[in-house]
Amino acid sequence: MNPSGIQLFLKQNFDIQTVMPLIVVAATALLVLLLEATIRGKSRTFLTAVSLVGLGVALLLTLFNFPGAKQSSFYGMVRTDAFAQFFTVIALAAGSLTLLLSANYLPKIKSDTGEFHALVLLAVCGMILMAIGNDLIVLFLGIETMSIAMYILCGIRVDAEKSNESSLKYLLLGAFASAFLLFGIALIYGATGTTNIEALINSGGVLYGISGIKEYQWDTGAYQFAETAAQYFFILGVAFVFLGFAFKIGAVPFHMWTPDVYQGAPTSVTGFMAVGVKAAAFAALIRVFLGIVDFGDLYSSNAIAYQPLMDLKDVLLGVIWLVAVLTMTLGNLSALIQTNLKRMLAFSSIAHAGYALVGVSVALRLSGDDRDAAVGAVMFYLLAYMFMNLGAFGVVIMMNRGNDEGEHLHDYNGLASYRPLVAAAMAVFMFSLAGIPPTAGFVGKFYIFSAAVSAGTVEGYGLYFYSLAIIGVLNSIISVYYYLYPLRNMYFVSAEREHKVELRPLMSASILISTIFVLWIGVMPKGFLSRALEGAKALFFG
Amino acid sequence: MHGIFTLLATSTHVESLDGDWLWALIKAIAFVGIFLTIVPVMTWVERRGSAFIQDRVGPNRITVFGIKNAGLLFPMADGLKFLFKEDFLPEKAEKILYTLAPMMIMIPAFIVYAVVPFSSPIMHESVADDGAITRYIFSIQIAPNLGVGLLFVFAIASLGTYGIIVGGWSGGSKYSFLGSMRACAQMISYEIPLTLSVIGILMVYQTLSLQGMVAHQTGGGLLGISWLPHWGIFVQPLGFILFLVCAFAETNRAPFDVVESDSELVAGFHTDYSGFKFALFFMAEYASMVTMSALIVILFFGGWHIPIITPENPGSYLIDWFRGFDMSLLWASILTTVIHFAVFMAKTGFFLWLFIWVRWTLPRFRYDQLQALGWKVLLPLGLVNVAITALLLLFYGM
Amino acid sequence: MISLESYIPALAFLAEAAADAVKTGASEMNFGAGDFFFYLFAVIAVFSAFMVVTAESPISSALFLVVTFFAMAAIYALLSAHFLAVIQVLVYAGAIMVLFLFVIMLLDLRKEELIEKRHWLLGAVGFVVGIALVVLMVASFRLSQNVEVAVKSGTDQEAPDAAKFPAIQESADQIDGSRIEAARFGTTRRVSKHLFREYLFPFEVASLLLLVGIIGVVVISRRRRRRRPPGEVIDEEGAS
Repeated sequence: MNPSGIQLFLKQNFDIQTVMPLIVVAATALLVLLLEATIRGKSRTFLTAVSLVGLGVALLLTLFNFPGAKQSSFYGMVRTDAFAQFFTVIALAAGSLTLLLSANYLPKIKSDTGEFHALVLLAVCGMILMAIGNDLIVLFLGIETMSIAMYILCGIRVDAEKSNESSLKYLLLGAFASAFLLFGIALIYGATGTTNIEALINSGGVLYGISGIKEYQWDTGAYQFAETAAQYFFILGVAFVFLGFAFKIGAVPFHMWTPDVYQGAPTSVTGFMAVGVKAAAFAALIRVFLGIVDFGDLYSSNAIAYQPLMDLKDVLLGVIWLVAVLTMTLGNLSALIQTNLKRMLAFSSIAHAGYALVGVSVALRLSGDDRDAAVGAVMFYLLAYMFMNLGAFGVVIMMNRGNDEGEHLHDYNGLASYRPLVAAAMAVFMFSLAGIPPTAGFVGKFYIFSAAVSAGTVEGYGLYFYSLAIIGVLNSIISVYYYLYPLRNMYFVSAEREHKVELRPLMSASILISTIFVLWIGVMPKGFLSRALEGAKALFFG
Repeated sequence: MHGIFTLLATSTHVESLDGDWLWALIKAIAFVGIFLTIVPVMTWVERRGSAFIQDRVGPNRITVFGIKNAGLLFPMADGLKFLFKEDFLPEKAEKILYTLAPMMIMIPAFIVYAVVPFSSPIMHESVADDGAITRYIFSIQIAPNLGVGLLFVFAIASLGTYGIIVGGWSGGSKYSFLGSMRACAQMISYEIPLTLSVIGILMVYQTLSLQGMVAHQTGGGLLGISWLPHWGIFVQPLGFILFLVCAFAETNRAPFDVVESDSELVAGFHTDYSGFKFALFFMAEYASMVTMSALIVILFFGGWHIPIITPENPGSYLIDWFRGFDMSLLWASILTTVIHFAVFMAKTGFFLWLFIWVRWTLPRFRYDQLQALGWKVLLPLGLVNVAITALLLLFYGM
Repeated sequence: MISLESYIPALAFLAEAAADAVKTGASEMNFGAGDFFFYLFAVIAVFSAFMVVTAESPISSALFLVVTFFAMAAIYALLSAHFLAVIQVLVYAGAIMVLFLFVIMLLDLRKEELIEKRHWLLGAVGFVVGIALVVLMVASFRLSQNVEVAVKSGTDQEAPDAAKFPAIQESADQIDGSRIEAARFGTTRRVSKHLFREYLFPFEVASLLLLVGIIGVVVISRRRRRRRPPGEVIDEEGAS
């Protein structure tokens, strides 16, 4: 091959452009590691700056120089469509806000090392991989890259027993979930002969494993489609993959790890985990599930042989329905009785995963524009959730006085009297989390529940989705109680003593950005929603 | 291309006898036999050689009918002693593993020979009426068709570690346990640069088969000098140095013999062993030395290839020369094979002597120095070697 | 809608498939040398895998795991995946298990010290899951036999609705082609072609994953040495 031929070959099959944000973030991580080893300064603020520049460059590349519509590269391993773009932005923004929050927090908990920054960046890499991954292998590698970085970030607090416990719990349970995920992927591969999501979707699962097998009928001399074991493998594989994802998003009944892990981890990591990991896991979940279970009438001619496969979608719908309801309800009810704000936010994040699952469950039933709207609602919700939740965690970090002090609800007593701005920001986040207008949380919930209602109009599914919407709204009402509880403390209870709350520039900037976005999305959601809808449209092939 | 391979390429049919189980078995027994005899010879060379280097007389006390034989009978005495000594089982030992350990180290040391090409293949031809030439080929190699040759060597060689750590652990003694811990860490550390050092040469040879590598090195005219063969050492000098150093470390020979450093650990991982079990450990050490020497010869010194005989010196092939005396191909190739085998053994012998030479010349590394050398010097150098090779291949072609 | 009933025939089918596989397996067993070695190594692999979980001493467990890996490698080699076989030995048996043994010996775990009585329910669940996996495995035998049938009977006859299943013809061709390629697919050259073309991206990403792991080990193992009085400047010299 001549040089120009090689270049063409590379350009066609290994388009570096498609993974540029990923490369920038990974390179920044390496640079930070090298700087950490070579520069002996006391302050790690410099490293924060370097990391932020890297993330910023990646963000700009993603926003303005993304390869765009439906482009897949690396032999179909990655796919850089608007959907990937949307979640890449969420990952990068979550990483940036986390680093901003950590800049002043890390010295407080005595874990101010360069590795922290590198690990956050590498976790962002994993999230980007989950957003752009178009192959189960890439998705798995992305999940693992993110998860392993997270296990370590949870345990980065040098001598804190709780941090160690958090890390170990997360590691053991996460490894278990990963094993299920991998086993599921193996089964899907065994059944269909491919791990590529696009191939799985385009063929509707009609790969040789599932339906290409014609059994020779000795008596009639004709070929008949055999009822194959492969479809059961496929179903089992889908079930295992769902189980793995359910763990990552912390859905009931795989939520047990969440409170302890969230509480033990450094607060900025907790925030990062609650928004970044969840968003990335949802990105992968949506990409995998909304396509590959859609068999339509592909098998109608052999309806008897493929009945289980055709039922799969309904079964999955039912499962996700149940999981969504349980997740919302259990998360909210447990959050009600918490006295530690960090733990409360942990439970609330379970509930929020439930709300997002409502959207996924709805999208499974709908088709066409309605489906895009449902998926768009989930994406929009995750974006809004990122800002409000990271903002809330930002305030928790700001109130932190070393160790675990300052996390209890009564630490917020009378905050409004001596730190009115911080209290106001917290109020915005809490309103948003509770879903009260004019905040981002309200709009997000509105879209999701209206998608559920519109799915209720589908013949035969009324009870299903109306009930889902009603349960969701009831849950939101429950959540108002515990979200407004800190507000009551801040505004209506007088402080026994004023806590020292430092307004450090980077941290304040992070909270300010979050506040602005929560209000912006709440007041003018249209631009954000249209990007989300664009992403949802790009998701469905053909 | 070497004359032998040209002959193969011009045949109408080539029939190989290599798939035959029986022949493989015979070859296996023959080669293991040869290398089992090398071990006693090596012990003699080691003793006399060390004496020579240290300006001593060395072992010379056994005389047969009054004839002094330069200690040649010592290995035999050793063997008898090993056989008749008590097979002692320490009290705290884990019996099964204690017994298995010497085998665990011995078996991999010999399995490796399966892919070593000891010489050029023997050939026989028959010409049919229509002029089609069928040539039969018989490799002097136990498993010539294993495409993963070199990887197989590394895979099997890496298993020798089990014998060492199990042997050290199962005896229940601290000295041997420490020795085995050291051995384990050392072998793992040096396996990485060892593997890295051959990646460059793999990139040049474009094959993993050891016979293929030898074939590649039989070409001549390197750097425009007609007699200079394409030997690995000229193509990959840095790779050779790395491989040589790592080979010493992998065989736990001086200056890397911290594993059994007599002054600290009595005898390292096999302190508790006696009798024939100890003999197995002892033999395995020499067997792995032979393996490493053979590998060095194959990878970097052209295997059985005789330097001057290259395509650039026409008519220099032994096989053609012999055939010029009106010999049949079978006899000509047998003679050639024998000469090539001798050449291979001579080259291997030189490196075996080098092992001994170095052992009695250089002092031992300290353990931290050893690890530092492995990780901070050899590993980066190995990476550099791979990078340079890749760049050269990219810009200047093969 | 969801109907549990549709799964009852499914289970019945799996049971039937299992019975079928056993039957055909017994009658059509054509015992060649390759088969002999396959069954030999399969038995070794299963037996030593069993021993891994039942052996009392962790060292024996680890060594049995090595044997399992070996037997697996041998089976790979029998399937003409030579490269995979060698890598299996080189990486798992030669490197990873050595480290396992290393750690076990350093901790000096002579006998399993903490054997707790497990709840019977756990045992029951394990049993059920085990049986389910066996059924899966047997069903997969059945699946592969179906493929055999498709290949043996050829593809000259058109399937009733082939237009609707464009992938079928292709897949049958694939199977035929793969038979021819089978002898060569496991060579180093072939594997590396796949690895550095189709799977280049995952391959590179895996290195990122390993990097994360390495950083993690450094961060976590360094923490123990950090128990110093607060305020003291942290010495950035790593392990040396």
